[in-house]
Amino acid sequence: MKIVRMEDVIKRFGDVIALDNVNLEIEEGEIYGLLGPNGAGKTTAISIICGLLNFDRGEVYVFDKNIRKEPEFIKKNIGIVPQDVAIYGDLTAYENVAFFASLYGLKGKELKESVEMSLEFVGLSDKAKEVPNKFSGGMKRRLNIACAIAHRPKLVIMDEPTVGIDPQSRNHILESTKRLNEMGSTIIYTSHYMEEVEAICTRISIMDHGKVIAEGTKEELTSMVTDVNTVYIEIGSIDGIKEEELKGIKGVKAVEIRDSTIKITSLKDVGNFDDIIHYFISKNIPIRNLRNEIPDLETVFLTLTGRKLRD
Amino acid sequence: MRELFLVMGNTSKLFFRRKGNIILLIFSIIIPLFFLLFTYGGSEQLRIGVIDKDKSVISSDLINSLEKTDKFKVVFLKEDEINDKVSKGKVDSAIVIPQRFEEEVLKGNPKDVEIVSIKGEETTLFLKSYLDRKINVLYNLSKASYGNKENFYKMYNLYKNSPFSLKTYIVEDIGKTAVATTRSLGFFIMFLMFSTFNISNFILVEKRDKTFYRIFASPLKPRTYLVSNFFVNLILTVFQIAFILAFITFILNLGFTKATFDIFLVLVSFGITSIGLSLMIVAFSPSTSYSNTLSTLIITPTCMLGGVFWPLYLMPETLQRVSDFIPQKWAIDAIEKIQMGGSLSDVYMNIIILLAFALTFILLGIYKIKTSEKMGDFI
Ligand SMILES: Nc1ncnc2c1ncn2[C@@H]1O[C@H](COP(=O)(O)OP(=O)(O)OP(=O)(O)O)[C@@H](O)[C@H]1O
Ligand SMILES: [Mg+2]
Repeated sequence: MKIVRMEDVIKRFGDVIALDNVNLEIEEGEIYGLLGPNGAGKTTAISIICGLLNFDRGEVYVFDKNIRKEPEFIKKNIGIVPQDVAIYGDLTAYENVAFFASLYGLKGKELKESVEMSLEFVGLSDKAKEVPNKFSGGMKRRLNIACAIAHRPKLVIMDEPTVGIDPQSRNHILESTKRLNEMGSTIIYTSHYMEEVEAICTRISIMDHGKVIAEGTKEELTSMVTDVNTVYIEIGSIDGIKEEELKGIKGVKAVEIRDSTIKITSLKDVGNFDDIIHYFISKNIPIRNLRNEIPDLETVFLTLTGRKLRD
Repeated sequence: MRELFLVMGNTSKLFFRRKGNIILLIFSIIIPLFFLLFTYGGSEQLRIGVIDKDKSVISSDLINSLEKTDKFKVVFLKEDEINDKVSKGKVDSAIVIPQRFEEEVLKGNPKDVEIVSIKGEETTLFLKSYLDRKINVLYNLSKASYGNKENFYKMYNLYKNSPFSLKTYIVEDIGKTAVATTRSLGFFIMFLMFSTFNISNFILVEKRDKTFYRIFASPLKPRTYLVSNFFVNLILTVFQIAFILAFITFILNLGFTKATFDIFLVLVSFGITSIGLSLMIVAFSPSTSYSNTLSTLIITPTCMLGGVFWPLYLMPETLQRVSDFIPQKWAIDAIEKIQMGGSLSDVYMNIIILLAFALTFILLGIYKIKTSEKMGDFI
């Protein structure tokens, strides 16, 4: 089942076109990444999926139901982690989670257990009776997640859940997201940190200026921008190395020798790694260091837009 | 229904967790009561500063008669002290009996006795109505004696010693307590407006803190949320009104005769109007700072124009006409009517007008929210 289907969605805010013919298809069980710079339209897309925002054109289906026709069913089965921490500073962590969970119909013993489970899940059990006004940024972010998952939604949407927190809390959140996915929730994860998206997402859309400019698995995306593979080999001395011989290895497109480092660019589909290594061994040249450059999503974004993801 | 109670519970919890809210709630009750106690509560007597420039028999008799009423306490002043004492509140009012007072009385045109007062027209009126009666008697005596001093004093002494003359014709109970209670309920009305706004403003606070976003991502209907805010507001308002009326009636014993319940109804109607106004302000405000400014800009001036702080008749006539469009006026007006012995049948129009205001405000607010919902910027 497709969990989310957006078809040619257009959303304008006055003159600003926040979503420009966006198409998205998200399968059940995925951790789907939405990657894009500030103002790309990620939050707008998410708010539409949650039924919080009207849109000007197109169709949106969530759980195979039309969002305009059955918003209640859809809302009931989504848990949202908003980009801005959305919790009551004066209510305890427990009361926060309990209130939001009860809006989804949970009550009594079930409510209590779910709240405890959610707090446990984000590692805030020992803070249950404390008020978030006294929490650190990372703890607030974690509570923000707990409030979204107590009602065990089929789809959890996380809008930049790691903004402005320390690496430890960030890792905790990334781990939790994976666990949540393993426990059966489909996840939409937005970020402008490509490392995060690379680390956990099964599929990724790259957005810019309200458009989806690329979509696919990480490998598919990187191969879109490059069909070559680059290896840097550092050796003691370049004596005895002949550029022509290296170029003779199958698949090698270019060889560049600078100081003691040799940059070899080969076609991606040709598996010639063994041959290259073999060349040095046969010449009895010890390899000091070896580095394989795989283009990351940053490169993909840079290549597609000519801009960096973040300034 | 369950959702309604759920959100109401949450809103009340949020209310009572914030010290500022509780302080505002307590202030809205305490300050009007303090006002009531301090302004008029101490001694029941009005302190009247007196300057007698005439020093005749009738002028000193007039002064004596003031003291005999046991409504006034007379303090003799020098002429240059008068403004100072009045403005510092050492005396509530001061009267100046002009030179040749006796002479003018005998001539049949008694000069007005000058009254200096800053406490508001009520004190002055109270004193003036007393003096007018007295001077009127003198005037009649002088007419009867055709300006003949000897005859005048003959009659005057008769009058003075007759058993009737000792009766003071004081307009008994439109008196001080009624006036003071009306004023302090006026203050209460203003505080009530601020505290109803404070609760309606929770909506914008939730928008600001983004919990609003989360609430509407849930299946909860916006309507349920708004209604629950309204009910919490109403419950707290009714509580405040009941509390202050109970305090005035049972603890201070400044009863409204049998009309406490009528006053309660008037105030609750006004409370509903005030909640409606608050909701409208909130609906039209994009942010909390905007709504805070807007509410202050609306509440304070309308309270002035509506006769909350001072009686309407002190204002120019055009402004008095403007006050017809201000809900506070109708509340104060109803309270005054009840104080003067009126009953529900005298004020039902006021209540209808108040509720009509409430309905208008609420409908305008709903209209605004509906249109912004359509535009998708309600969240
Ligand atoms: N309520 C609104 N009114 C007007 N313009 C809006 C509104 N919400 C978003 N926009 C505009 O729509 C565009 C997309 O915004 P959106 O918040 O979806 O971006 P984003 O990808 O989530 O960015 P960020 O990484 O900064 O969160 C931006 O140009 C933004 O200015
Ligand atoms: Mg965003």
